[in-house]
Amino acid sequence: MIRKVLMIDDDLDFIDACRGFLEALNYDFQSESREEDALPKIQTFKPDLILLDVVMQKETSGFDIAQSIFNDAELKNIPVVFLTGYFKKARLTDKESELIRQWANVKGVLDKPIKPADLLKLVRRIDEEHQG
Amino acid sequence: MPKKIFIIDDDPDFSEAVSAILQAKGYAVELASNGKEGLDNVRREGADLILLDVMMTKKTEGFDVARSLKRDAATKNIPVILLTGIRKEMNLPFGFEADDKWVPVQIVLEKPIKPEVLLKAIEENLQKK
Repeated sequence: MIRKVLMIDDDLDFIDACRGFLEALNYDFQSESREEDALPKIQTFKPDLILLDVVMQKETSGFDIAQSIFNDAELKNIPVVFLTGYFKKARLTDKESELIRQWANVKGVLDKPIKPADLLKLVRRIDEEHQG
Repeated sequence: MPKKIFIIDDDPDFSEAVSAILQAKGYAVELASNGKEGLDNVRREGADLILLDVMMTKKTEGFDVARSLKRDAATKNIPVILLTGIRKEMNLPFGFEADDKWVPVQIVLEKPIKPEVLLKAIEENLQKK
């Protein structure tokens, strides 16, 4: 069951909006806006779901973080959802598409701006898969 | 018995998101997607509080629903929170405020609404009821 949600994003307003919505739904929500602190935060908070932005300090920071999660035996099964405008803006390179296909823990992508109802549907779907 | 909140709004995404939040807080939630359905259902089933959108089939439908609720002895004491994006959507230079004659509701909140603001308004108006 998903209870702890970690959002990794450098847009503080967007984090605030998601925090308001997910905390109102009784999720235990934490966030990290610095790319270099993302992995230690995941290791200490041990989230049930990671909401991950792509473009942070680098154009593809989120991909680097996803790769680090996937390379870590203890973290690789935590579901990850990309919340990003990156997929809409940029055409994924073949290398990026191939990378994402390898990450079994990536459960979805929501393009910003995000409707709360769409986030809710995705979280519930992952929760069902998790339990099912 | 959980308090029953009616959401009368034609935006299913908004209703679904708000409904999930209210259920997480222990409220019972009923939905209606237009003014007529909302009025009929509230008259039939009763409600402890109503969240009412303004722009539905008609641009000012929520105002009409609020007045109808106020005219009916069975529903006139149910607190109504009006939720509206009308000012932004119609680019109006003014907002709306609760007013006994024209906008007979407890409070008007502008969309998008922060969940904590909505929940506080609901709690306060349920207490006053």
